[in-house]
Amino acid sequence: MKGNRNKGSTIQAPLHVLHKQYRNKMWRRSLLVMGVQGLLLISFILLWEYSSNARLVDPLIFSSPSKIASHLYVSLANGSMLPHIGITVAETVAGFLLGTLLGTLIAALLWWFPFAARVFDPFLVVLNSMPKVALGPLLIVGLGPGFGSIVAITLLVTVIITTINIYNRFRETEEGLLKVAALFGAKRWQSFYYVILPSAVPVIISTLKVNVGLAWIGVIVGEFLVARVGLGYLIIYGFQVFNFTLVLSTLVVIAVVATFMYQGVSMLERKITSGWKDR
Amino acid sequence: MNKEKVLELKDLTHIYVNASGAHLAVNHINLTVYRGEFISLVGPSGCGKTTILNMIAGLIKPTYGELKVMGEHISEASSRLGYMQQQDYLFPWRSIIQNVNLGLEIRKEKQGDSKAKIMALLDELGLEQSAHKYPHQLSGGMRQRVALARTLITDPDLFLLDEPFSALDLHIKMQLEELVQSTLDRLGKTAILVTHDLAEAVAISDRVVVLGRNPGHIRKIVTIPRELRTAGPIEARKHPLYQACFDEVWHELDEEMERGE
Repeated sequence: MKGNRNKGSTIQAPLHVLHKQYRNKMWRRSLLVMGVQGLLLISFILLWEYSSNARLVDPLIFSSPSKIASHLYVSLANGSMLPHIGITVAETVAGFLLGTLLGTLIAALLWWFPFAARVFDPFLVVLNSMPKVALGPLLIVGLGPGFGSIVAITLLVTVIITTINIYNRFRETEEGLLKVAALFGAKRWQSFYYVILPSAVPVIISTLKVNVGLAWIGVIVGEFLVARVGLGYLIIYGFQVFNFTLVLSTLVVIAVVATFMYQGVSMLERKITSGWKDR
Repeated sequence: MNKEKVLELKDLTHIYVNASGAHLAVNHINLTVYRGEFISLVGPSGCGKTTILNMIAGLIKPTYGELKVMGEHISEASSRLGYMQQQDYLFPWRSIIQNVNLGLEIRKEKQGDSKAKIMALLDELGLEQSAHKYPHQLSGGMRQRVALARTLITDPDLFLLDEPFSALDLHIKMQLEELVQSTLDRLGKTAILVTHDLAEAVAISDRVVVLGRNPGHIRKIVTIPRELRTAGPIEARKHPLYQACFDEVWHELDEEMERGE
């Protein structure tokens, strides 16, 4: 940018200009995309408000953006929403962290004991194709209603798919890398520690991202079933008293919080894998 | 010439057994390699070059026969051996300096002065600027040089080279041949190179072992004149004696190919 080099200034100027033109073009394109996105959102909200007021849709079921906004404002301002957000976020975070951790641990055990891996393979396939939340009632009776059983449901939803994904990644570890370690005389645990586990880090993190979404399902269903507090409870409560403004406000909160959580994990991913890339 | 035996293969035989049957891969290989020698193994695919190398490395066990490195029988990966593969297989999540340190970490050798040792080695190989970079930031030739450093740092006596130059562009490949040969010569190391490039084998070796297939066996060992060996791989290719040696190896391999078809 500091164009003080006299030699080649004839070339540098047009290159500089071309680059600037390109950047401007890209910038205009991004601006356009954001503009259209904003426009879509605003027209959706306006249309919704209008249809609700003009009774084109049933205002009892669909509420309206203005009612949702005022409900959100009140319940956030007086703090009545916060404990619900807090408990649900805690359950979700505990669920996806534990699910990913436990899944990785089981995958490691399966890798360590290939015989067990062969034995358990069909069972894992069956468990994976089953809707795990269906086991919710069992867990609630077993663990008692509350935080523990809700995290357990979440764990159940996330752990099987995590185990399968990460175990497969362990098995697909580049043979050449394992050979490098073997040629240095690496023991089995050293192969795991130096090669298998670090080479699976990108997959573990992307599984963590998938598990954020799955954990929300587990938590909301769990709260539907038993909770006295939490966003899932608010939805069920709103449904029981036919307060759909409460239901929809809660959905808005869930959308916002879930997005922040997902972005948080994405940031973590960028931070961890910034130094290196898979080939 | 110092006649210390670094490697002895006696009647080395290997049979692969798998679901589809048992297959005799290499049969009765006899070879003795002395300190400082550079030996190449050439031959058509299926002649068991890599099988022989993997047996020496201790990765697979000979079905029959005897294998001694520095007079000792070996049963698993020995710290006297260094191995370079066709690809560099650097660990993408480790910086260059951490990659080079890998062998020392796995063998739990003293970490005290290892950093200075690694930096000195990287400096020698022209990699000092790259110490804190990651593998994906380096070119193919530089990465293979890092792989060489990773092998050199553990100070092995015998180098097993499994086509480490074959994936590189010709210019880079010849530079790296030159670097590997001169480095090993300077340190008094012994090397066994598996290659399918006859020109490379003749230009770099003391002896070229021509293997036949079905099962793998030694057809002939061609001794390369001293003049070629001392010239270095790039100059050797221009030497007046070079063509005759190349033709001899070529002819031997030609006959083997005809036999096979």
